Amino acid sequence: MDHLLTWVIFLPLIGAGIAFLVKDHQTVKVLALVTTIADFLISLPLWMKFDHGTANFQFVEKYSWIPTFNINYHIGVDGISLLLIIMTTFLAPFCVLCSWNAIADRNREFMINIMVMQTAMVGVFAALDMALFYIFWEAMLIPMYLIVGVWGGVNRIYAALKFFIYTLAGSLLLLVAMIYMFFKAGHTFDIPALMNTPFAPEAQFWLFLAMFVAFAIKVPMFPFHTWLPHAHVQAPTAGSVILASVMLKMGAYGFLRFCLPMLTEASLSLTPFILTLSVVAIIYGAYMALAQTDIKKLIAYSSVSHMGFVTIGMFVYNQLGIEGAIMQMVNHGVTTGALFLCVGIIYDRRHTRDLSEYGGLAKTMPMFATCFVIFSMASIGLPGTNGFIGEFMVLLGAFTYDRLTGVLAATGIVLGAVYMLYLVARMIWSECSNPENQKLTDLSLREFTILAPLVVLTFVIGLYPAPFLEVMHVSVEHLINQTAGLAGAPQIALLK
Amino acid sequence: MLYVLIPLLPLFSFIMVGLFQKWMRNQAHLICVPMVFASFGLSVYAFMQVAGGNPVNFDLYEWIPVGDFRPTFGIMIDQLTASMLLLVTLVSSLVHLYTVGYMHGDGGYDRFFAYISLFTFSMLALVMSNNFLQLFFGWEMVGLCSYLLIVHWYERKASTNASFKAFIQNRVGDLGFALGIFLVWDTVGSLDYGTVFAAIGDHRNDTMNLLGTQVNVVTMIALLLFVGAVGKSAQFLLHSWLPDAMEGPTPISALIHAATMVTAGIFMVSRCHPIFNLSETAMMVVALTGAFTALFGATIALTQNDIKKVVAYSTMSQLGYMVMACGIGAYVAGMFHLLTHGVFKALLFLAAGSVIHALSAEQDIRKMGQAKKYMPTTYWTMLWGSLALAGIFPFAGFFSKDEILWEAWNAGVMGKGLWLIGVIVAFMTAFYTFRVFFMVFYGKDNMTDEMRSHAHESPRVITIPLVVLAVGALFVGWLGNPMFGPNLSHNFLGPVFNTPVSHVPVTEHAQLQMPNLVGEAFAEEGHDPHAAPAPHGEDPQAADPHAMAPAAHGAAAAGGAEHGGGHNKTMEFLLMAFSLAVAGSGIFMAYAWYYRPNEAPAKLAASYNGLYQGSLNKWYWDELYDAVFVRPTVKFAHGLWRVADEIVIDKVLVDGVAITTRIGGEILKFFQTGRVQHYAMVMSLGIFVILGGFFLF
Amino acid sequence: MIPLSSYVILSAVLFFIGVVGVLMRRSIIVVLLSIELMLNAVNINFVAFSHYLESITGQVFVFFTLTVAAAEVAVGLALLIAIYRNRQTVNVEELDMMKW
Repeated sequence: MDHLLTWVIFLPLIGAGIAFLVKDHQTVKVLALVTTIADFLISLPLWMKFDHGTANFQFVEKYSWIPTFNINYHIGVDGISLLLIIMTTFLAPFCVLCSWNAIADRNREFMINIMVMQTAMVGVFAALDMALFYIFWEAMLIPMYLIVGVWGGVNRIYAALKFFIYTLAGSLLLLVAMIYMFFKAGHTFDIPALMNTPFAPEAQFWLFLAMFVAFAIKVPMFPFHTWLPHAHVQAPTAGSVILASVMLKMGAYGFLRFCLPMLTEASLSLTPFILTLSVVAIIYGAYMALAQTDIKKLIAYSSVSHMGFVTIGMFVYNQLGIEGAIMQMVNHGVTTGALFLCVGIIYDRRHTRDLSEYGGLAKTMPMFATCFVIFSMASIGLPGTNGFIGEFMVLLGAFTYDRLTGVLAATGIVLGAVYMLYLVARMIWSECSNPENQKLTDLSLREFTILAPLVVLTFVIGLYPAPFLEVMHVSVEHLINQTAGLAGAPQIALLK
Repeated sequence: MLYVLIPLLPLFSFIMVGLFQKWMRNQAHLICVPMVFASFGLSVYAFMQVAGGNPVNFDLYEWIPVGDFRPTFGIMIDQLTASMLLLVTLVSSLVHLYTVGYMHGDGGYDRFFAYISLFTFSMLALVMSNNFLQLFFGWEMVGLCSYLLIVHWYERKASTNASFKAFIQNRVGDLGFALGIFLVWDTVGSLDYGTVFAAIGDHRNDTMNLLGTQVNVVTMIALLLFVGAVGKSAQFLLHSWLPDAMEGPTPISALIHAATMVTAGIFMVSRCHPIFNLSETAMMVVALTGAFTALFGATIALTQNDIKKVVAYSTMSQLGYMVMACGIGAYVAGMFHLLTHGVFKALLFLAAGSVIHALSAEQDIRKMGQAKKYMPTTYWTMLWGSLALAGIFPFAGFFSKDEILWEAWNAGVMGKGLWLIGVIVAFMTAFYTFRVFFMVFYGKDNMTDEMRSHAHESPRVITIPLVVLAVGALFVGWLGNPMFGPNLSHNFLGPVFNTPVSHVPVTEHAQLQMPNLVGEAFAEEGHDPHAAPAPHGEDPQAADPHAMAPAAHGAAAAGGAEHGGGHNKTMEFLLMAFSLAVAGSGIFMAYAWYYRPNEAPAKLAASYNGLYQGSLNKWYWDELYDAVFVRPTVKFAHGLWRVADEIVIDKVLVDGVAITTRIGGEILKFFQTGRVQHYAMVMSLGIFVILGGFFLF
Repeated sequence: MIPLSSYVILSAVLFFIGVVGVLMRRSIIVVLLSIELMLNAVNINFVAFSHYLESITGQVFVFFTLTVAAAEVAVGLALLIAIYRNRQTVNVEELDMMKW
């Protein structure tokens, strides 16, 4: 297929278009499932045909779109975005499946939203034109806003509004930065061209700050994280999965795609600041998670903690760190997505997220319990599961860059175990005393189909991550070479 | 390549049972037991190969290949690993067998088998590793299995809490361990044992900045790695999970919390001896921690009334012994004690399990007594186990414990102190072991009629492992017998510790594709001067002090090496006789107080109530942790969430921006009258102003 | 020949009357009429300048304006009727719903 990447991006949108014309809810559900699976399948050749040997963008397509402002439809993938695209397409069918019965009201519109959002999400990762990136970036907000606001819980309006306005406010600064760069770089939004444009250090500083706000809100980094628990708690399961698995990655991806290669000096000089915030996020997020009694909120705060590892990994400028950060993004997507799916499964049965309502699920739902424990262990970062790979790489990378950062971040592995095991102990183990829990049924075939591939992936990445890592080697090396050419990074020399 | 099967067979049974648990119908042992016995068979084969001078070291595949960071999954079997292999697979096999009887009728029968198989795999992956990362893999995996098995009866609150505690305390240790690995990587640039141990000597004078002070890097590495050992081997400060772990079913207490997993720390320290040897400070910390733990555990074990708790604290105490041995450089003695202890402690646990099983799941020894007549086999095997633990000639514990004491005696001034602690601990060990023994099998019959009517000897599947282990408890000690003939344990294990560099060469993958090529590959390697010397008689390298690690504790190590050569026998015999007398008096005291109902213990407890309560309540260590760590953490987290997150960040900062905007709007809205003519007026005025400005300027 | 200034003055006077009408009168009908007056004041200007500059563009614009004005009146009156039906009034001072 010639326009493979375009197909991957727009296939869900076509599916959504057809769904608009179909009135029947059942048909739309099947259509959405077929579309998302097809999208995943056609995204696989991206990975298989991907050339590991070059840092250039591949599967590039470039057409003039708005010539007045020199905006092009320019897309492509490199080692950094490839896995994120695959992860996005991989998770979409699960989002459809988990909403199969859970979304009773306006199911058709929900599926349309999911598909539209998928186009926007893949678009964000594939865009090589900053204007195009921005359009996809903002377009993604609308379906998400609707998903939270229409299909969410009791407080959905507040959560949706907060999420929307918070992220939008951040994006505006990104827009400002973008326009400034457009003029400085000689009227172009082209990302490869911008990467080769040297910006004055003074300007870089402000550009970095503007972008930092946009991306940090999305990641979310401490202290820009407070929209996340609200949004997660209110969102329906599929919304939480997309939010945690894909949307949060966009902020981190933005850092990797824009800040590091384009604003290298500013990145280097602001590294201590970012690392400090990340370490705080890891520890703070873990403490927050520890205090929660709402299962979704607990996992939401654990995301804050885990994304702290991602931001640390990116800003230590070595291969272990950056590749670890990308792996951690993928792993967090898989694991946290899976945890949210698990929560969705019991929420469908019990309609409560209150931890004290649960207990002893191992007795009534053994298969569910097994899956949940596996994902918890992956979240904790147990060797052999995917969570370990990213976390260990990031920590090792951080440790070689700055020991204090490494040591402080590593405390996250203990704290992570504390809150996750607390969750497991309260929910899966302990006595099954609540009569409501005693009549729960174990996973249905549909639910099993959702969780089984994720379990397999957990172990595949955990035990044999080489195929995932090798696609990014050259791109990451290229990125590091870009940063390494500049003056030695300032370091927090407490332990060095 | 055949050796790969050793860990993979249990893994296979785990996967099969795990996947098809639904259809297992309590027949999981049909898969698991043959697999683990096959694994044991292969381990014996591997042991023979190694003993015949064919150590193995090869990589399977690269695990996380990133740049220079290329850790692998690999297999290394040298003498150290081979002996661990034997212990692990032997005890695991017997425990598998025992489980068939012990867990019969349990709701989670198949699950239990799946997990002990997984544990066996993890433990084997740990000991067979040839690099630090796989070691860490096994290290955490055994922790996971321990967690899952402790929480086997998940409906009990105590099990849930105990599993939580075990995992978290282990994780704290693992954190230190991971940091140690980071530092190894940062210092040497490799995680492969061979490379690291070869290169670490070059860094012995490197220093690093630790919060403003310069500290030795190697010391730091050793200490951090040791933190991992502290967690895993339940050494002082991270010890309190081990007794609680007894909430799990008895077979895993025997397998995991006595014979294998908890000894991983000692194994790791022994494995990393080239690092530890370079740091006098670290060695001292190791030795003191071990000695203190030995004493600490023993004092608590004196007064416990739960049969499993006593054995658990004695395990802790014995682990302290082993760690102490490592700390004075007597790795062989430590490892030897590890092996003998693995056998007789597994025996004791399984025997205790048999008692519990027979007496309607009662664990309180105060409610037992006169059980001898119901269960003769358990009685005899437990007696042998207790004699071994107490260190009575000719049982296993005697040889290994006395070897540690002898090494301590020879290890300078500090060693004399450690020797004294060791002797005190030996006395207490003998006492509390036989306190339990007499209270269970003699003493006053405190059983309820209910218990008495059900009391019975355990079935064959339970007693056979007991007998096998009891025989082991009698004979395994002779391998390290210093009196007659060659000291086999030294001859076998000594070379590992006397060459500073891990000496097993990495062989090419290609050569190992076929099992029958293994021998040939090593036959060629035999000419390599670094290849492991075959453990026969007086090895020139073993006897040559210059070949040893130029370590701070070279003297101690030298003592150990000469020991095999047969010096200083008289002194050793004297000390042996002395410690035998000490152990004998411990047993005698237990006999005097507990053989028949006696008022003496109660009186003593009353007159030293403070001490008694302290020991009974584990020196309040759980309460201390609860007050210092657990509750403040929870309170802090909760407070932080309520105040910092919900109020300061969310309400004040984030919503504050929104509120400010809203207030601005509230003020401006008064200009919005809704009357079209007001707007038109403002518009016209605006036009006039603009025009006016235009004309004026 | 009437000088251009006369047309401009006429247009200005008409425009001013329109503005005052829009701002002062209470009946929407009169307000709408006043808007028409303003538009036609502009038209006079257009035609006058078109003639003066000898360019047809101004007159073309007048046609545009007329068309728009017609459309506007149509929509405006329709709205007005709708408002009257709902509120029974065409007094602008009472029609202040478009506020907070």
